[in-house]
Amino acid sequence: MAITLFALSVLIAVLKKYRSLNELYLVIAASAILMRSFERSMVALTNVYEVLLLMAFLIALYNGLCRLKKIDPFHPVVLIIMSGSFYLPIVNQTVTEVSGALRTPLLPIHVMLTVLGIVLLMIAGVLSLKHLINPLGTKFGKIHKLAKVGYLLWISGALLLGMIYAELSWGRFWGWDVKETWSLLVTIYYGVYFHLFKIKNDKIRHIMLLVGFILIVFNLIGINYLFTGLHSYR
Amino acid sequence: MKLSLKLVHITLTLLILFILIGSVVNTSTELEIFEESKLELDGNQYEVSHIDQTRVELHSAHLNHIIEINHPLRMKHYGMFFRDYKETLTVTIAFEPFDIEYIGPVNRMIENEAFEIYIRDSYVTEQNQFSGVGVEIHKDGTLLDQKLYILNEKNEYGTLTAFNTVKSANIIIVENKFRLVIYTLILLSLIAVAAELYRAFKGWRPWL
Repeated sequence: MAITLFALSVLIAVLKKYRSLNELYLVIAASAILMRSFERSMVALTNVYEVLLLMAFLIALYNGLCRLKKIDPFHPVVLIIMSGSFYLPIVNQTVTEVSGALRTPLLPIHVMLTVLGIVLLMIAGVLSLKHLINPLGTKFGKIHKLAKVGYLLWISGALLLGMIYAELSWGRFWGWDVKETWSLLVTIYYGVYFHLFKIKNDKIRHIMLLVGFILIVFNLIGINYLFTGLHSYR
Repeated sequence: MKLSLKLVHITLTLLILFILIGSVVNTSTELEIFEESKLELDGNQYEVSHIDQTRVELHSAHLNHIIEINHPLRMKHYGMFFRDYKETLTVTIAFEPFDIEYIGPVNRMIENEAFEIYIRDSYVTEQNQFSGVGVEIHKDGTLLDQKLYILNEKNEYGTLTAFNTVKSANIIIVENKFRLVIYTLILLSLIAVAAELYRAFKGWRPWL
């Protein structure tokens, strides 16, 4: 699936059929998640590869919405990089079995909301970087709104539903696991950003969103590979 | 900043505060049991008949080789983790008061219902680099539920040969004094998040 996705995305990019590339991503990423889900009789969101697939799907969806609203979508190179990332040797493409304690209906809701929040915060970070390079890009108000929605979804998915999920599975709401602690740090960071919204200097706000991007990517991927804990899915 | 976002931050702060306080004041009673030892859980007498690598068998006076959870305990999460699996391997089974509504597969085990616990080592996931042991709940030979408790405090992946040396088990009775408060705060936070999301998406028409 990853090979197909990567090969087709490169081919379509070469042919400059960017619109088709986006649609292709929507279909293939969704099919990949569905196929893996049917294989295991549960929603396939259990390792980094599957999270990347969901992220690719969400970015393609965002691009589709941008096109509808006549806003500049992401350059297709982003999708090509994403499909290329599936090939990284650290990304495990095999189907991961999930332990009994984690097989609850809360798992897909927890992961999907969290990933959706992460994707929006990442998009806000990338748009901020674009804005820092070229200040004539997307208006700050829109970037801020994206970050806010992402932050709210992050809080509800990662923190609040995560707490309920942990309580049901492990008998405690919070365990100071590496990922849990880092997630709290990310939440506090964005909390500070929203409290400082009245800062008039756009540059500082863009830099803050960019730093947030780095924090959240490290939380999503880095923690899994550098530390061992209850959330070290790979 | 809008009021609902402030409310999200206030409830989140309170949540963390209660979780921190809870880690200090929550009671956690730990009983170490050995083969042929007797234990009393909330007034009920149990005998430990067998502990090995595949199962822990507890039984009360009138039920053989099964565990009877009758008032006011029932299993909440169970399993085991390795404190030091090279020397003194410890099995931990956690129980919790049979108090408020817990929605989960264990609900199928009702008061006075007898069932068996099997601890299996088949859930070890080397790929994820944590050790885990699955616990299966059986009743009359039928698998009712299975769960996993995992922990790898030492950042080590141990072979389960040490598992054969299981000779004792710990039963932990955990009482979270703030469960209701925490769930209320989570609910409040979710309501505040929903209100803020509603505000953000109000009037949004992606198809136009």
